[in-house]
Order: sequence, then C-alpha cells, then structure tokens
Amino acid sequence: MSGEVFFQQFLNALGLGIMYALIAVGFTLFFGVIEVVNFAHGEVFMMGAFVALIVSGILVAAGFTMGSLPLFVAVLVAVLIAGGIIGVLLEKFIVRPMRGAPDIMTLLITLGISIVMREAVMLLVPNGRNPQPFPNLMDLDSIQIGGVLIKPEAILSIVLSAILIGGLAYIIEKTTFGRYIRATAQDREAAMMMGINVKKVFIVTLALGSALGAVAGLMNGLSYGIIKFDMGFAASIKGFAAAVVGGLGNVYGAIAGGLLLGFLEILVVSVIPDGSSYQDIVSFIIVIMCLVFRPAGIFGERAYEKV
Amino acid sequence: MLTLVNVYTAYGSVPVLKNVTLEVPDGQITCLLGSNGAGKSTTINTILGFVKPKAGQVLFRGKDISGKSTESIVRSGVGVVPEGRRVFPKMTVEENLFVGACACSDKTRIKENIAKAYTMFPRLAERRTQNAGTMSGGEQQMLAISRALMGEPEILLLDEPSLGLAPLVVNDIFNTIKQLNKDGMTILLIEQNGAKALEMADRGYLMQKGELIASCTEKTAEAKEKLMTVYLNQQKGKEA
Repeated sequence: MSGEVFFQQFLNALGLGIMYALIAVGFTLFFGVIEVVNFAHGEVFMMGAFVALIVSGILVAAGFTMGSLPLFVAVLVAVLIAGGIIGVLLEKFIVRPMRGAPDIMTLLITLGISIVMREAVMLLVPNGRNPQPFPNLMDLDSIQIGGVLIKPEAILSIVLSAILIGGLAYIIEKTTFGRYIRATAQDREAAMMMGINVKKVFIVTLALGSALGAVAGLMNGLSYGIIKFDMGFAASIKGFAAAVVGGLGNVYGAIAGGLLLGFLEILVVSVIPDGSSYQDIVSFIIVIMCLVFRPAGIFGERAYEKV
Repeated sequence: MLTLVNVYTAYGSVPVLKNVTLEVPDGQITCLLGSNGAGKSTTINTILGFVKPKAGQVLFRGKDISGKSTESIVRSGVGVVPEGRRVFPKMTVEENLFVGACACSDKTRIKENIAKAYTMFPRLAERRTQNAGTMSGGEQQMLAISRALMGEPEILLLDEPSLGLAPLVVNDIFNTIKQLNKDGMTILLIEQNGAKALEMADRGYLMQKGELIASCTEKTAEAKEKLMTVYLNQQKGKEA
C-alpha cells in the first residue's frame, strides 16, 4: 500500500470511526445514566440527516446560498435542536412511562418506535422510499497534502465531531449539571437523596445524546452525499457495537470503541480482496469476540450482572 | 420538627410499617432501634418519599410531606446519610461535596460549607482530589455526613452510620453526631448498635416487625434502661 493510499484510508477510517463514536456516545450515556438500551437512537441519526436536508431546502428558498457558511451553521444548529427535541420526546413518551418495567420491554418499545420513525420518514418525505441526494452544505476547496487529494467534507466532519465530543466530555466532567449526571449514573438513589432532580437529568441526557446522534446523521450525509430512510438501522447496530466494545456506560470507552470499529472496518475493506462486502460483518465479529472474552468491554469495570 | 402519625407503608400487598407514630423534636437526638428487617430503613424511605405511605401522615415542620418527591423533600431541609454510605465512588471528595450542595445556588456559601466540612474532618481535606470509592469506610462515612450537611439541612437522618466500621471509628462518628447535635442539629439516628445510640439519645423508639413496641421519651437513665431491657430481651428471643 503506498503512502498516499494509506493516508487516504487513514482519514476515511478516522471519519467513519468518529461518526460511530458520535452515535455510540448516546448509547452509552443512555445506558449508563438511565439504564435503558435505546434502539430508536439509530433513527434519531437518520432523522438528523433528513432534518438537515429539509432545513437546508427551506433556507435556500428563503434566500440563503447553498454552500455558504451561514447556511451550514444554521443547518447544524437546527439539527442539534431537532435531535434534542426528539430526545426529550423519547424521554417523555417512551422512557418515562416504562420506568420500572423490565429492561426487555423498554428495549422492545424503543425498537418498535424506531420502526415507526423509519416508516414515517419513508411515507412523509416526498419520494421517501428512494435514496435522497444530500446537498453540499458547505463549499470548501479540496485540500491537497503531499499529493493526496482530500475531500474537505471529510476534514469538516472529523473536526466538527471532535469538537462536539469534546464539548460533551467538558459538560460531563466540568459543569455542575455534568456532576449531577455522573452522580445519577453512579448511584441514582443517592443522587435523589442529595436533592438532584433525576427526572431533569434523564431529560437532559437523552437530549444531549440524541443531539449528537442527529449530527452524526448530518455528517453521514455530508460524507456520502446520499441519505435514505433506512440508514438508521445500520447506524444503530454499529453505534451499539462500538458502545458495547468500549464498555456500556463509559463515555471514553464509547469513543475508543467507535474509532476502533471505524479503523477495523476500513482495514478489512482495504486489505481483504472484495473487502467492502465484509465491512458490516466486522462490527458483529468484534461484538461477539468482546462478549466472549471481555464482557465488560475494553474499558468497562463490571460485566452486566445476569439475574 | 418531624412527626410520623399512624403511618402504614406496604411494598405491594405486604405491610411493612404498621401504625407507626413517632416524633423527632427540635434540637434532639432521636434514635430508632430494631433488628434486621424491623422496618427501620423503610421508615427512612417513607420519610424521604421513596415509598408512599398507604395511610397516615409524615409531618415536617407541621406540613404533610408524604407523597412529595424525594428531591423536593430533601430540598426542603432533610439531610440524609444513607445506609452503606453511598458516596459517589468515581467522584472526588470535593465533587461529592459539590453534589451534596445541589440545593444551594450561592457559590460563596457552598465554598464556605466545604471549608467547614474540611475543618470538621481534616482527613477529607487531605483527600479532596481522591476518588471517594478508594477511601476507607470511616473516611467514606465522614464524607457522607459532610455531603449531607452541604445541603444545610434542618434535620439529619442517619441510617446505620456505624455499619461495617471499626470500633474506634464508630466512636469518632458517634462523637461527631453528638457535636452536630450540640451545635443545634436535629437528628434521627437509626441503629442496630443499640446501647451506644441510646446512650447519647434524648429519645428512643424500638421497632419490631414494622411496629413500635417500646419507647422512651425522657432522658433519664431509668427510662433508657427499661427500653434497653426490652431491646435485649428481643435480641435474646431471636437467638433462642
């Protein structure tokens, strides 16, 4: 493999990995803080992409120039807010009513709602059954480093994702509310005994995680230029796999798991002949290996207790 | 300060507290004794709103707080040192204290209270950046007490503060409780370590199978001895 190809693939892997990380962070937060596995998270990712598509359409009609910075920022903010709102709705109508119910029921309900969301987008978006071309929200000149032509969208995605993940880590580690989130994750009852409004913690957690998931959908559209109503399912599996590998409940584990998954997938694609057909197997293989050899995940401290 | 009036609590259809009436007067130490499964922790859980009483009232400063959320009960001035300490293990000592202050929005007050906690327990000051989960049981208990005080409560509920601690450390903790009371804190102390708790209490109740079977409301050696005799007989009966 020549140096240029290697560099190119390295960037691909980084872009893919950080996108998985962005999704996995949500899964791991929901599990760690609220103790739910939210399989509707992949559909939040999908809806993030569609919100970007629709909002950019509206903005262009309102006189914004496609590819300009104001448009891009507006779309990004809209996706973050939309993701947050979806998260709040999920908390209010799915997670909260199911509190106290067996875990498997919550899991099945989120799976059910994910089908509803998927089909709703398919039916409500004009020509929603088919792939939709995703506009180039940000016109950037291609960058050339040492003879390698780099897609600027890739760099944009990587930088933006890194900023968002860093922002989330900052909120969790350094802010007062982040302390409440961590306290709730470590001991919910003790958190209540300190007077923490656990309900609010749940809402904010779902809003934060979903906002990041939705932005991951936007990144996906930017990188591939095409989105489809059923893109959430694969995202869900990959994000969940990354979170499991990193150790469910551990934010940094989820980031590492996402990057690991991205790099392994690109490795398989570029090294094995006809490797792209095997790309999706990677996540399943590493989840199985992880569950067999290290059930708590790479960074997890305890295996999920079996009852 | 805190009064339970004819409280019935049940988990599902299993009654746990039956007709419990007890009073925690201002500025006193009230202790609630009883063996395992007597309903002591359920009493605390009922006060804190984790379980709603089926009947009866929980009056805090004359207002019925039964049925309110745990968070609002705590914020109205009830501090808790939970059974087993329950410090946040992966947070530093200082962060634990900050979380304890979550009802307080005044930053300088929080800082003052943290400084107070460090004067009360210099050991905590030494370990301010250490994760709470890595500390010894006694240190965790100090942290749990300081954390509860960060919310500036009017009453402090202590659920088995001596549980699992070395005798010397237990003495320290009990002395701290006495000192807090001297400084004006109203205290409800739940203990299995009956003799020690009763010794420093102003008022004592004995619980068995969800009912109060004896009490002493005077701070005389005689009254306490009477309660202690019932308590010991009950313990003996268990062993036999």
